[in-house]
Amino acid sequence: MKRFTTSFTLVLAALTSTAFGQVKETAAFLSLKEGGNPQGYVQGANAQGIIFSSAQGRPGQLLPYEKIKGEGLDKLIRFEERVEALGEPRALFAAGDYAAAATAFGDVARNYAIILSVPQSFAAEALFYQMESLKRSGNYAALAQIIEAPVSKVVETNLGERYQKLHEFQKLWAKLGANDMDGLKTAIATYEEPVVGDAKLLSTPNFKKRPPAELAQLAYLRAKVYDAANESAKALEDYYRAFTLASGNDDLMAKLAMGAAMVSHKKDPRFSPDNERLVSQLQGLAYLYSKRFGKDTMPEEFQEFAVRPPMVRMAPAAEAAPAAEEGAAPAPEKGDAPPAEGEAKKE
Amino acid sequence: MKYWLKQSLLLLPVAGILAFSAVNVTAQEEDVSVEALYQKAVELNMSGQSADASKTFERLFELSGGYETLFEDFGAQAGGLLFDYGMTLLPQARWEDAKEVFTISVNAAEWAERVESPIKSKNPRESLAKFQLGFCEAQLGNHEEAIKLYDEYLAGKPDPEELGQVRNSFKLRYGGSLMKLGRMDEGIAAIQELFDNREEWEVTPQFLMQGVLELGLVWVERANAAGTDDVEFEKVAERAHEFLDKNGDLVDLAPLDSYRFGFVDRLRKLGFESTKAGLYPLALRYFAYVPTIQDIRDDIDLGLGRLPIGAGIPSQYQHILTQLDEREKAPLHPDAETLRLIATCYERMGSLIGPRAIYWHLAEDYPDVEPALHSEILHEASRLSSMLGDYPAAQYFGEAFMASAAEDSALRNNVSTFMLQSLFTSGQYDQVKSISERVRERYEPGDAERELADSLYPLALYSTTMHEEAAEPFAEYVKHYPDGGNREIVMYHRASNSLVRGKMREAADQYEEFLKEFPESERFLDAGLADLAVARFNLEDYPASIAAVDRIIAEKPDSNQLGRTLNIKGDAYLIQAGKLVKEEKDKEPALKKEALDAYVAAVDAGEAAIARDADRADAYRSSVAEALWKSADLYYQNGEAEKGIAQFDHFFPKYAGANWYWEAQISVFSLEHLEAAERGEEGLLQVEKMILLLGNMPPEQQDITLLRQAIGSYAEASVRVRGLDETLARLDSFPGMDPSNQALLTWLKIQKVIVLQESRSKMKQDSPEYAAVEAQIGEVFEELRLFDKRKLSEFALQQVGLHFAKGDNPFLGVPYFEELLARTNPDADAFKAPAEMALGEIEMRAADPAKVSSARERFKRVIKLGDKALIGPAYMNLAYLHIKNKEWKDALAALDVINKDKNMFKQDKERRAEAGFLMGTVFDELGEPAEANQAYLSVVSTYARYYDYVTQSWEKYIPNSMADFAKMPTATPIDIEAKRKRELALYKLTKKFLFQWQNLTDEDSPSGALRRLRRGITEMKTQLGVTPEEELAVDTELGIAPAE
Repeated sequence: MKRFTTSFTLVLAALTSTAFGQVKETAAFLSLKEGGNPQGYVQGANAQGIIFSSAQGRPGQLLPYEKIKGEGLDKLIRFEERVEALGEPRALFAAGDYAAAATAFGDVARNYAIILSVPQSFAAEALFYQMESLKRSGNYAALAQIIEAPVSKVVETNLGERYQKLHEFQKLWAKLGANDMDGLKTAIATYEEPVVGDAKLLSTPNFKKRPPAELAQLAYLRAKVYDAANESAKALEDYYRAFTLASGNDDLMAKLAMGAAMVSHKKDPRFSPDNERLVSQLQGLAYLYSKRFGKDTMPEEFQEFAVRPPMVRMAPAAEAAPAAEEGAAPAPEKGDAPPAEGEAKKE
Repeated sequence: MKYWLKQSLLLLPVAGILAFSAVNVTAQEEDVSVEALYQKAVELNMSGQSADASKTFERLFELSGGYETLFEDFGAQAGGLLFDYGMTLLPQARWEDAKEVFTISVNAAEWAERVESPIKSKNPRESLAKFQLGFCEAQLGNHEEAIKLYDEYLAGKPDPEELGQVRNSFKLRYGGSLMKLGRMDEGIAAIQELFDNREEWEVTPQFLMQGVLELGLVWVERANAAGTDDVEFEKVAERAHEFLDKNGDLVDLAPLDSYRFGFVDRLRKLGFESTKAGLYPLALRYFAYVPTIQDIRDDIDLGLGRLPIGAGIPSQYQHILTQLDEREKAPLHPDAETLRLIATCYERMGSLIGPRAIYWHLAEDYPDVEPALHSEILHEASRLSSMLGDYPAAQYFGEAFMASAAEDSALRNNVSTFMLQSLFTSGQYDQVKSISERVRERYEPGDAERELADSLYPLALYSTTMHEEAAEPFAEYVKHYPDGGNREIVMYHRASNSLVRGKMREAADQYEEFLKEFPESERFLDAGLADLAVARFNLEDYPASIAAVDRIIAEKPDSNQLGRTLNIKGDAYLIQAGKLVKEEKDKEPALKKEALDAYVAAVDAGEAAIARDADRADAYRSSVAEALWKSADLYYQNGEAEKGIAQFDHFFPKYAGANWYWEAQISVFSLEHLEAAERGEEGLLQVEKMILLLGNMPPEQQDITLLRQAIGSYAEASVRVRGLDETLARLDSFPGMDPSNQALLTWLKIQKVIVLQESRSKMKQDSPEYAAVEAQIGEVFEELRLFDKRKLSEFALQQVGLHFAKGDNPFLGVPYFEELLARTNPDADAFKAPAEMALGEIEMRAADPAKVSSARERFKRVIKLGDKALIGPAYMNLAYLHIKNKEWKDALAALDVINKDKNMFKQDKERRAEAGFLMGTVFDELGEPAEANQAYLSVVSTYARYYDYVTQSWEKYIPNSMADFAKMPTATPIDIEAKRKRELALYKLTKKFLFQWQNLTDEDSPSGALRRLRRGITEMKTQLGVTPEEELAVDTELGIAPAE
């Protein structure tokens, strides 16, 4: 009982004020291994079980999870208010209004804090979605605060496998939000292939094989690490990965990455108005940014570059056929051939 | 739910009518009544099985006897049934069939009238059929007809409820057709209405996406129609962007929705079409709406998470998951396919990093795609890396390609090219050589596929100092690729390679060829001219060398090469000044002035280069240092000490450390001028630094002559500036001296002896001061003797030995040379021949026959040791010894070797002149005057500049000739005439030579031969009995006869 109290207190401490006030109990149907399918009220929960009362307002008793049907986290505890409580925040989430969704999910998590420790509870689900909404809205600092709170552990311990991969990435973004670059660097390193053999020829380590959307996120986060270490050239490559590998379909990340890439381009010591190749790279990017996100949203220093770059209109030979015909290598640049050691001198 | 499905439901009343007049064609197992078939068709269509629905309708028509029977049976109302049939054809894109059916539906009343149907009914879908007919026309490209039908539909004032249901489609289609007709503003406005009224008209995001897709295809069509009209093309692109800017946010669907409504494929298709049309930024915006397969799975996962605990995966989710599984089994993953298109877009927009990031990802994460495709992906990753200048990455992907691609892959050569380029630029020349060799094996010389390999191969050899090996491949390239892309760099480096090999003639010719072919070479014009100046300088073609420098000044006045080449120009002028014969001496000041101007200009040019290119500042600083010293030297020679000192002040401290040689030169040779300007102490301190610098250099790099000059000048000036005692004290304890540097200590002690000897010369021999100095000198020699010679390097031993050998007491050098000969370490080998030579030269001076014999053996050993620089002098010394001992045949043998080997004394023509003259004298001694005269004549004709040998040779030639004349027959007038001709010829030649040598002095001919010849001409005239007429004729022929 003491353990339950401690856990419960922590949860409440983490989830502070609520929009509608915290509920003291919430109606639920249980399927017991023995004893039928009682209907009643859950008044609290901990790692061992739930505080359950068959009558509203009456003090409940600890009902251990082992007495409830279902394996693992799939305990047959059905909360009547789940659909209603999550209805509005889900609608906001579906509509892409992630900032509002984060607030709404946060309210649910706080209001139903008493059931956070219940396996697969909708309060834990709301907490997960609050984090996901904060991530998608770019509020990484707030995400970091929640992830760092002890209560966030319920996502790992009480929600199913389907949530865990997204949560893994929420934790990475939280490190960015907390500006914990060392921690982020260490975390990112676990996603990288070891740099051995020929891989040493590559400017940045390969990531272990993952879906492109995840690679895009990892690349963005690693770019931030590189930026923090003043490794601008490496950061630039990763920013490009961030907005290309998943088609740039994450609007927010694409915008952030493209913006950061423009900054990296200009940081390149070789960048000057005379360096046509580098200017052309920046122009292409700035132009795309201006088209996709609006020129007005660009920092002023980049607006001048948002001009249509010269584009060769040429249909791909076949769908996504490689441009092999363009493979002719340029002639060596001036000074490519270093002077031989025994360079001739006047005799 | 799609619009036309809804419409099918609306038609159910038609089915009700049919129910009462079922045609019982057969009633066995299947109900094939019109009603049953109709209901079945509608249901099939509603469930998305449009093809089966169409077949069911077609069976209905067949069983019922065709359209006419239907119109007979149901009147115009049968048009509704045909309308429903038409709706099943649309999803199958059977536009022509649908057009026919909707046309019948529109004309249902006429059909009923034509078949004289007794049923007076109306077609409830007549108006709507016009709308669908319009759609069919649009799909068939008949947009004018489509617009007409749409307008007619509206003009027919359709039921508001029906209009409300079709309005969204209507706007979409109407707008689309307007745009296809070029009525862009109207078309966009029509579609824009959907977005603007989305709430009022309840337009779903899916429908809006439909609008985006429809419009997208129109933009593509318009862009294609614009062709090469860039203005029109850009206008289309801008309109497209404007539309997305305004409405793009409204179509942001969740990944799962985007997939299940079929937008993923359509967006990819639109992206592809946009890419094809050149609308790259627009395509990228469309691709940004495309979720990855994993995005869709994640969305499903979240959806499943929302299901009640214990619920299984719903069938619709499972169906999608199965579909996704199937998609992922495609030869190329759909996401990868999209990425390749995205890469194309970025690259066409001028970006290389984006497409490289994509191909890098594809190469690493999709290794199991079909092998040819994997090769293509690796090829692209290598190509883009190469273009980005990320050569290690180009190599990485290139190696992966080489390891996995088919042997006959058409891309193999491309990748070799990227790797070659990459490896070359990153300085991995051995790999460049290896890959080039492989490429060169696969193709014939001159093949385009070999061009890069054939160019980089010799360049790599050149860069690894394999200059001899590079010569042939350089030549091959130049021969086989007259239009090669790398011809310019190859031709330049071919010439440079020859220059490095010391093939000055080849180099000069090849630079000329390069300059002829690339007279305006942006990359190598100045370097080519600068090197040409070097080659011409080394060929002693100084005017050509100067001309090359002047061309740089004219054509590349801001070239960084200018500093060093102006120094060459200055040197060329100075050498020309030094080569002037007596009668040309008046030209010397002008040439020296040119030299000085060149050096002064070199200072400015070098400093400008330092400012322009800090990375190579060291080289430019060195050329400035050289120019400062050489100009200072000329100022000193001209008596313009102040200007010379100004160059010294310019040099220090700015160019201290820029080049030790020039720094030492200006330090040492400015000393006396600084002293004269009362800056002697400053000059001494500077020279002290130089003595330490020169003395502490590794033995093989030491310039002993300069070190000796430095110490000598220093000591002399120091005695004057600081006094004798202070000078001796400094030489004893030199400031900053490393006590372990025995070689330098030796030189300083020797200098101390010299200083003491100098001071002694001013003393009386029997004075106490003289004795004291003698004692001091003895002490120094004792110290020197005690020096452990074993601690001296081979080079130091040699140089100390040579110093003594050339001094008053050459025997002092003997122990040093003997120490060298005693050494057994390999480093000493190179010094043994010079040591033998030096010892031989010391011994040959001795009167002791044993020593002379020893000397002779030493010279023979020198010849055997094969040191090319010493073989000639060894033969010459042998010749001297044999001549001294009157061993004429042996002497002749030694001189004959020199005479026949043109490479001996190649740089010391005076020795060759001497050898030729000595050969003549030996022939004389052997009693072979004809051979002797041949040798003398050879000296006179070949070595005219070496006056002493020329005059001696001619002096010897004359008596031999006279003796020969005396032997000539005189029996006949012809004999007499022949003899006279030869006599007069000799007289004429002698007179001619004396005329040519009229400005020479006895100093030019220390042997006195010239003086004797001048005296002897009168005697010769008498001896030959030259008449005044003969004299006049000779003078006339020589052009020296007095004017009449």
